[in-house]
Amino acid sequence: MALLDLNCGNCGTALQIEARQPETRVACRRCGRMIEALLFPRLVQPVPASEAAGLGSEGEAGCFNHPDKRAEGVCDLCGRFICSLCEIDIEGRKACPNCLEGGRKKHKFKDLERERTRWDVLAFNLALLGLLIFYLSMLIAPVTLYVSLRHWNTPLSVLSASRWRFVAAIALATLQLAGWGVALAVMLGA
Amino acid sequence: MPAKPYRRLPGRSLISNERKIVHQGRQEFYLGGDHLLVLDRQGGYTERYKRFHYSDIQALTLCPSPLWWRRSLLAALLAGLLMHPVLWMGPDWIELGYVLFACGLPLLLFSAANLLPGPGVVCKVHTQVQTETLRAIGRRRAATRALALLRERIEAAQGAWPSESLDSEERPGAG
Repeated sequence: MALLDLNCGNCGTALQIEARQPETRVACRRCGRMIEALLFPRLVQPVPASEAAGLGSEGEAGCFNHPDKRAEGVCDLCGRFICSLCEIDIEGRKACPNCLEGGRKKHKFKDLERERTRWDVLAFNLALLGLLIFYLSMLIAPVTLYVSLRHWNTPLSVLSASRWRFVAAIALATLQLAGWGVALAVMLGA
Repeated sequence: MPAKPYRRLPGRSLISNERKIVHQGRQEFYLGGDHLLVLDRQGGYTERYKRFHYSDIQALTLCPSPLWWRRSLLAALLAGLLMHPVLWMGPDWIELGYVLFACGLPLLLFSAANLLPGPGVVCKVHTQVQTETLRAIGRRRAATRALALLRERIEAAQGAWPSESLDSEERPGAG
């Protein structure tokens, strides 16, 4: 019988739930609170250990990274033959470890990204700050333009790829700079 | 127009440090095509992602938490402490009465607003290698709605509960 180890969310006491049925309740033996658990088949059917890659024989294509192993597939990114050890499923494609590492560095795989900076939000907030404190906008507007243009192609949030904040920030910063230009022209003209 | 890759689930929470004093950001979570995305917005400009593939999730657990009513009680007590002298103050002290009332009212409002969403819970997602608290689900009402959607996806990915794991009394036709 599979067991699920957990801690009470209230007092932290270590508890165990037997995987008898998908919906289970257990009372904490220390604080008495009733913990509800939704159990799923993965608990009783652990992930099978990956089978060892088959050894290659003469006349069979070998893996690029492990020449003595039989090739089981082709990397969708570089086209090299790969064995089952090297075959990594990512975003519906098969990739070899080299392409995976390269893709991770170049932000090609969205599923591997753990952190992103919202440059568009930063640029937009800077542009709004320039509107609120207009005297500072002479300094803030160029910074806003720099951030917007420098990070235009940087991947945004995984939730939304819309660049409307960059567009609005550029428009506002340009207006602020134009305002300063007009003000300077008027002052110099006077 | 392409379908959105993520669907937001009910629930949103501030992320606190270990002692629950300093708020460091906000947590939300989303249903993706094959995974649950937990998103921590930190400092306003950084997003941190954690992905739990539906096929890896072993269990979801819910435990009632007393934190919600404790917070409300504390806020109500402080509000009462600040506001009760107003009842006894004479007309000479009316200005001080206004100040105390203005200080206590936000606490009273917080206390009431904290009670409205209902009982608090601690929700955790368990996989073979880790257990993560879903801080975005802090209330029973949000948890019920979110877990129903999540359960649907997980069951679609993992299939039905294996019949050999059921208790003998649960098994249909068992003597």
